Amino acid sequence: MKKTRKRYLQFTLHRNGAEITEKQFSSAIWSSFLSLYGEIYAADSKFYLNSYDAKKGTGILQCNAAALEKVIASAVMISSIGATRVSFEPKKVSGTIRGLS
Amino acid sequence: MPIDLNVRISSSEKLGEFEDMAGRLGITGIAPSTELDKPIVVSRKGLVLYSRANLQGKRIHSLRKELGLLRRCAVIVAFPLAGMETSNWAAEDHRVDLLTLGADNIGSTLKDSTAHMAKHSGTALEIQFTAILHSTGLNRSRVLKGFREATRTALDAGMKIVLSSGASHPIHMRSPMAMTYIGLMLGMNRVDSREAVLNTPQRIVERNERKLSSEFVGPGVEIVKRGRNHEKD
Repeated sequence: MKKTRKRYLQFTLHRNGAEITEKQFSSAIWSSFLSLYGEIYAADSKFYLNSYDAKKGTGILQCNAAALEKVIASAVMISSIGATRVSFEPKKVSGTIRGLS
Repeated sequence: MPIDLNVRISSSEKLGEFEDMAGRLGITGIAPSTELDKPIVVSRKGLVLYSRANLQGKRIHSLRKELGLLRRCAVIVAFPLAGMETSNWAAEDHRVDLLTLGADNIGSTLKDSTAHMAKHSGTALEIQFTAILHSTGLNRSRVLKGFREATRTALDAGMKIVLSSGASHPIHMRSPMAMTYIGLMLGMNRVDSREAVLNTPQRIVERNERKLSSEFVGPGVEIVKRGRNHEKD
């Protein structure tokens, strides 16, 4: 099986209200991705939330290199999670987690 | 210098919240639709506010009058894409900076001929992406269709594109990097998307700043140095 290249993205989730849990955030990205690009792209994206600090709203996510643009666009398109309004800010993209520091 | 050319601030009391958010996102300037004391105002937090006027007229005659009054006091003059006749007029007039496509006129289409005229006059297509944030399901699909078609028409004709938020709440604003990914989603390539977010808005603002300065006489004519009054012998 061909090995796919990964990309790591450092981000900040700005919010106006209650804290967003890791699970809530991850589900919000999945549903936004599904809505925008459909099940096939979602399946191939290999999206995974590596780390997330709910208090600061910062974290790192990983996905397939080919799906990076779509994953980021899906996250940017999220306007609210539950009752909390949010704004997703991509910060830095790298091929390794080390590259983000 | 990232500038968001369309922010809908309902009252001056809410300006502080927008300033904070713009600061957090790395945006250095915004063009609110509220009235400002001067065309360009620098806020206490260092955010530059550019006055923006949206043309409201329905017919060319009234639009001409309105434009004549507004051009000298607003940095950005925008006209929402509407009927063919008025859109063509706005695209042809070099005093109009932006042809706007947003939540209010999502059904409007940008014609090839309009885009070609706009290319020659320097009028850019403005896409307000909050329309995508506020819609879901089939409605969002319609919004995306409208935006993607207009983007393709503008790019094919060589018309400039500006991506702005049209945010009525600070949290609806997006960082410049996030906006470039919205551009990619609308069918632009990386270069065009960066251009639409970073370079084109700045160029429009700089061009109009020059026009509004007291040194500007007409296109291509500026006062570069003032001499003393000539005294008769």
